[in-house]
Amino acid sequence: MRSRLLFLFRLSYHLLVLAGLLSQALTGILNPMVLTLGFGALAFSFFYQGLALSRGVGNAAALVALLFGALDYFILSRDLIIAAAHLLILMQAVKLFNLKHGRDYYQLYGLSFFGLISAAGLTSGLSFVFCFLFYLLMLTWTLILHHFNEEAYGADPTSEARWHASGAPLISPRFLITVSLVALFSFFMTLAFFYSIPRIGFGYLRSRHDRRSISGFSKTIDLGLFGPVDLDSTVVMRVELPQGRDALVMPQIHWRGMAFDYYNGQSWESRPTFRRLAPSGRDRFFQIHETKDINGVVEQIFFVEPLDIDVAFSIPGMVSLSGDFRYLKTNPMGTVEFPLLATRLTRWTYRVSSAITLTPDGRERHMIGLPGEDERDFSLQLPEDCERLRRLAQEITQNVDGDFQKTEVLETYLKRHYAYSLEVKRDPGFSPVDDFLFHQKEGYCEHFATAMALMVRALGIPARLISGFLGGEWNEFGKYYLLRQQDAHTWVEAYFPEMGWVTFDPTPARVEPKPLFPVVRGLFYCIDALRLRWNRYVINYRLSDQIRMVRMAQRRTIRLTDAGSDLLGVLQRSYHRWSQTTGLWPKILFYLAATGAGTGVLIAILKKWKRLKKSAPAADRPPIAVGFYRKMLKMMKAKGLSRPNGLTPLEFAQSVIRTRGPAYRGVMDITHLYNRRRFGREPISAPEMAHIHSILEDLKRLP
Amino acid sequence: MRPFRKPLQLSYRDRTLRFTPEGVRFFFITLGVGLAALNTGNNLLYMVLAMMLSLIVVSGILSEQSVRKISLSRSIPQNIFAGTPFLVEMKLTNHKRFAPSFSIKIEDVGVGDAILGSHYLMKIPARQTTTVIYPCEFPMRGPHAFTGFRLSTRYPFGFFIKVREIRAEKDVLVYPRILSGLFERTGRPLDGTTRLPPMKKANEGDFRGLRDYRPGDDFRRIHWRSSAKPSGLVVREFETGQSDRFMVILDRSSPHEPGQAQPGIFETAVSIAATMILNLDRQGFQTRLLTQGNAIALGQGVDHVLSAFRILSLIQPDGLTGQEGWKRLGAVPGGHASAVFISARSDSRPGIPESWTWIPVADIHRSFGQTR
Repeated sequence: MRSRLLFLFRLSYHLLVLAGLLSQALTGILNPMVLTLGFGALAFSFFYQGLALSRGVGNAAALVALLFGALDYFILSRDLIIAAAHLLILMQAVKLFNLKHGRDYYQLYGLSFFGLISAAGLTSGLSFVFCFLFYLLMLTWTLILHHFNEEAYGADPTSEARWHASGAPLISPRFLITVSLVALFSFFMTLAFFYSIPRIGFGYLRSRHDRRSISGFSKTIDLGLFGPVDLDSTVVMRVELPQGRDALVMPQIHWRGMAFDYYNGQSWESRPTFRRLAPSGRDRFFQIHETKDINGVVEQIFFVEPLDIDVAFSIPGMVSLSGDFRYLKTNPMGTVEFPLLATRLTRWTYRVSSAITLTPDGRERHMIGLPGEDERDFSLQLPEDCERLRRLAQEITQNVDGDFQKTEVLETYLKRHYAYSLEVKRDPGFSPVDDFLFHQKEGYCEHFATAMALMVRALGIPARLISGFLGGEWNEFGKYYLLRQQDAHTWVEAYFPEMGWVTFDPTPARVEPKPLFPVVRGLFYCIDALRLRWNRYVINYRLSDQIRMVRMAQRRTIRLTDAGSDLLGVLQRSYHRWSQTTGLWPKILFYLAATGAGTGVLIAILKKWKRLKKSAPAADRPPIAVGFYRKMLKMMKAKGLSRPNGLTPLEFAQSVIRTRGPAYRGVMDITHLYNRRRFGREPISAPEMAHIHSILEDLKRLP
Repeated sequence: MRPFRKPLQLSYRDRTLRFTPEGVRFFFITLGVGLAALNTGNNLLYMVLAMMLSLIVVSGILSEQSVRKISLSRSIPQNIFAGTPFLVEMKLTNHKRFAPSFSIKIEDVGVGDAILGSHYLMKIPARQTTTVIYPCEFPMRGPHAFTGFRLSTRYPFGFFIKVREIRAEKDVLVYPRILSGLFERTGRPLDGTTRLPPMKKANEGDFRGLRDYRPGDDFRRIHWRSSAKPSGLVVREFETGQSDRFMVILDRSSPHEPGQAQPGIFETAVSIAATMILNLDRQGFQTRLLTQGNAIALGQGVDHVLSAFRILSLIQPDGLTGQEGWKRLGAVPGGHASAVFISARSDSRPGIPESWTWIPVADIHRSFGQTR
């Protein structure tokens, strides 16, 4: 029996340490050598049970680990959390071979627990939740088995025999299920606590370890650069559409980010000045742009990965934004930027509304930032020496009437006559646009968009360059758009007085990478949907979510109360109708039946209560009435002489006489009679009773 | 001021929750993680904090589950003698329908929170009764009491000790210690002149008849032929004469004599009296107990002996000395073959009738060691 318990105990604490190590390893930040050492020590400790370090060797190994920790912090990693995580792994490895007493085991649990905490500081990835669940299960297991091992065998080596004698074997499949249920229950309790602990954190010491800086989207567009551009499939954001669970019926969604209006011949810039926008209300709601068209408003919730992007994205036509930001920065072209600090921390989320309208041919259009609204309006600005480009634009559109049609023709022209390529060559003898239009005749989105914007401007039509993301994948499992780095895109917005700003995308469709097998794709989407939930409901869970939950609960309670009142009203009306239309006898029968049912329920409750009372442990009360003694105790208590639990009646009486003098001798007499009555079971005669009363009277008069 | 011994303890009605050292550490680590979560706003730290809080709550719930709906009863022997171990049987019943109770320590508590006995049980299955037995001993005669039971558990994680107090009072009158071998050891002259009286009756009286056996009757008196009938054991009864009557006089007056008191000597006197009454009764004598302020009539049998024991259990020295003490004995009834005068006083033979045997307790006390 004991060997089975010991084996399970050993297995459980090794698995506990494994869970902690896994959580640290999956952060992807820690040193592989240190991790290998940690895992190796764990495996060695499990399979070679007899190996134990002597005290001296154990202390020396711990000292070496500490020295390594210092070296790690000052020279190698230069990061407190990483150095601490490494140190914990090393100390844990030493402790695994130095388990002699109960406290050693607790120290081992502590080290693995702090390992888990260090992992929590180093990552916010989905892998943590699996490690956490594993850890919780193993912690429950280990602590319970540790407890039994210590209680049953720690102090009393003969307890095994006693255990068998009691006929209640502990380590059985049922017991193992029970312990697992305890872990499950702990998990649900954990969830309850997690969601109810108020998020009033200050966030002064937030971790920046899982923050990545990836290429692709940037706030400046420079055509002077050249060289191959890699397609990066890193997920940068996910977009949910809370109003409708399905994908939008649109040819292609342009997730608009920054607008650029000034081109200096090499790169694009955004010239209008940004102004700060303060939120309104407790939900931190920012009104970006007024709109009267409420029907066309589409809400989107963005979950942004920790990247170096501080621009708000939306379907073109953003009218409002809400999120946990103290202020926003906006410019007349509809670009919205977040405060730098807010996005430098971890994953973040915001909710936007876009007043989406489409042209008859399905192009997105909006009315934000009309030409001339800003003093420094550059929507018709052209760089020097773009005569060749102007001539080309006029040549292409010479037979076309109307600005919109001309713009369409330019878009089609670029799409048809130029090729999409990520490996752009460059002739420094020409400006980047001329080089693209007249020499290379291939490029990527920035070349196409720049060329088109400038040609449209050359025709006298206001235009600007927009950067953002295009399309994205619709995740059927999670019902959201998945945007990757490779979806970063640039396009053009041209202005027509009757339509506003209309989206034009002159970039030809690029050759898409070979699609994944449906099963693999399904699995990927499934995991990604989980990741989104993890980010949304765990990583980004904030005070505002808690407030929303409370409000929702309030609304539901009110709805439930209303439903209850409605039901009561229906019952009342039904009863009223029934009582008016039914004769006397059915009524009598109904009342009798109702009374009978009520009485039955009452009897059942009483029976149950009696049964419970019967089964409850009955305290053995003293069977003999010794009220006079209690009366004397009460009297003594009033005089400041309470009988402590530790004193027998005789000892108490002696102490009273000792402290208050012989005047209190009556206490001893009463005590003798009490002992005789209670323990000797002898009756108290009438003269003795009278004597007791007289003593009590005397005692009452005493100070 | 009371020392601050139990820093973290919560009590409510009959339940007490006490932190173990591991529990205290866990509590402080929880506080630390809570502070870290607040400072960093890291939701994963909040998750770890939530796990720690949930373990605390689960610990409370499961420990409560272990100690609730358990009833206990206790069986003890009818007659308990000081310094003689006896067995106490405790029956624990788990009244819960499905849930077993794990890791329960049961303590039988006496006056002044004294732990009279304890036992550890790994598991009490649901709807089952478990019996445990422990040896107990009261070193002193007199009134004692079992005040209740204490169920405690550190289940499931060992962070807290949940204690449930169950009141179950049971009064016990512990009879004086019986000095085994008293007669063998003291049959020889004690002071050169005094001997204990003969403990064997010289002869029995005339046969009077048969009666049903009563506990305590001498087995040698069983009339086996009549006992063969289904009605049960039958004993022979004889006429008793003066020679069968024995008086035991216990002097309560001596121990407080200044300079003469020896600790525990009065207890030895009481033990001698109880031992004599028991042995004389077993030998078939009728006995009478006489002390200052208390007496029982001449009698024989278990009930008679037990009533003498009850008096001897509660008897206390009266504090009077010298002749004053003896005077309180009052008129000594006659008609006894022998009388034994047991006195804790260590002075020379007091002025008692010559026919009485004086037992100098001090010598026996020395011989038996200090009897509490």
